[in-house]
Amino acid sequence: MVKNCEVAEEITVPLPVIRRQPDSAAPRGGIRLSLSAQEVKEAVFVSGCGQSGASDFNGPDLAPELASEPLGPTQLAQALVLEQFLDLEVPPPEQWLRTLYFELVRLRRHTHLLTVGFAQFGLRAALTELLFCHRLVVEQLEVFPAPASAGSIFQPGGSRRPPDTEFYRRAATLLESLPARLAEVEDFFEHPVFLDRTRGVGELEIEAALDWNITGPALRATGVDWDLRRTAPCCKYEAVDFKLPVGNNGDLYDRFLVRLKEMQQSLKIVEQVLEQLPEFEAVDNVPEVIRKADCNSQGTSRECNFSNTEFQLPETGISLALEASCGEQGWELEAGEKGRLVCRLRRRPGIYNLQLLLNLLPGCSAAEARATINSFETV
Amino acid sequence: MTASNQEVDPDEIVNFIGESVSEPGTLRSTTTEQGTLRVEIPATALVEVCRSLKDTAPYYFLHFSRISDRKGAGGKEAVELIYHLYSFNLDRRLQLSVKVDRGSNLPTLRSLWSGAAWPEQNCVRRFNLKFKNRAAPAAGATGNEWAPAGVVSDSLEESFEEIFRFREAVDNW
Repeated sequence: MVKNCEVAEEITVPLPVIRRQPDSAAPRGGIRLSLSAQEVKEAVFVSGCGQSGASDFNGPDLAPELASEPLGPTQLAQALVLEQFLDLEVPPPEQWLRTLYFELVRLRRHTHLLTVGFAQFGLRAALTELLFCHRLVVEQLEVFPAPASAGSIFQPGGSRRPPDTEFYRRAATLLESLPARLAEVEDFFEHPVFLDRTRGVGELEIEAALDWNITGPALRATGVDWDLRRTAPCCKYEAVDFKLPVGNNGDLYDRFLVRLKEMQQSLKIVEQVLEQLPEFEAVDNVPEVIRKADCNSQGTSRECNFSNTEFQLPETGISLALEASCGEQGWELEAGEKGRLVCRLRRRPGIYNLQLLLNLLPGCSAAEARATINSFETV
Repeated sequence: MTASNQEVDPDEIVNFIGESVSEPGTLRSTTTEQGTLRVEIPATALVEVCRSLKDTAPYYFLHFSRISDRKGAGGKEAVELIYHLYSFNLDRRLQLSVKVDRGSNLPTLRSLWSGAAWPEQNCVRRFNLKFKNRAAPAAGATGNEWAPAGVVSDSLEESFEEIFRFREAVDNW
């Protein structure tokens, strides 16, 4: 007996889940694809914030260890903005550690995206290597003090708390293990299944990338070697030597390969930071003006009260552009309510990627659309 | 394409912008704390100025980063929008400042950058601005010369509302 098979006319591809803690419920989002004869006709973003959307998100939900996202990058970016505003000098050891932290977050995010990518192609051996890499990176991130604590690199002005032995032990393990593991993953880039599913798929030309304001690895995959760590370096980026991997075709293959190569470069940066990390003096460096500023954090915003100080927001404001793992982040310090100042994230690179996807996907096959969605960082 | 370090004097950029503006004498320029040139231009000249900056050597401001905003000086309804551009050729950032009132019409940059849809939608939400194409009026026309932009599809507008909800949920979580 032949069954009549119904071909789905609508599928929802969930965006990779980022959770603060394993197993905690997180807002979810996805792209709903309207299909006709397995070709995408329309792509619409849907959120799982309400009841009706939640059931759509049954996509790949990998091990809980992949999910948790530290608040550190947000806090660190806000600290950099406030330091600019207050013209604070940050001791060199802090700056080196911050550089290290940014690269660990990049490693973590890239591993996450590559893991989701390889999972969809069924290349389990590569997946195993990537999960191992992810665990090591997360273990290294765990030895940083909590962002909210006074003795952390995430506070404006920093606080000279030297890394402990565990930090160096985990860093040594990271540098010993990861290069070889990433080299194993790189071998899978020649796997026939991987080549077949990624070469020429989801191609993005330079002109289209610039038209849609794309930045980060997706832009570099088209051949544009622009990176804010080079053109507007913060922390100690101008003191480290690293290459900028770029692609040729802007397809899935290039977007994944650029990320892998960036991870290899991140490890080189980590190595240089550890070699050059100066001695710490255990002195509390958090300025009085910050202690009295009564700062509150809410999501990606931080509000502070400097109204009783000599620090006034300049006429032209304060802004900072940072190279996050998915592209250019734009932070601004703005006037808030009742004389307070608010540090806000005003440019989210993931949303520009999302906007592009909604326009790029119509005309693709369903399988290509899924793969293309998972090659962009959107959250 | 590589970011290069071709040197161009800020005054040269201001003069070049002045060529696209009907009253160049009204241009005001300043430099931000980070050393970025900011030029105030009339809203009506926005598209022409951006097109010139984008298409003309040696400027080639190809990257449109974002629109930021702040309260304007002209009263409760006044808003100042800052358009952030970047030139790979000059390795230089530029800000164009446009002063408007809440609820007013503004020309859309979507004919130059499709990606302008998202930051403009943000401005619609925050300040009730209306982004439209400014079609050249026919001779003797007395009607409204603003035409609907029509570049953003209905599904994209629908998605934007969902993205706003999602983003707020992520921010507050």
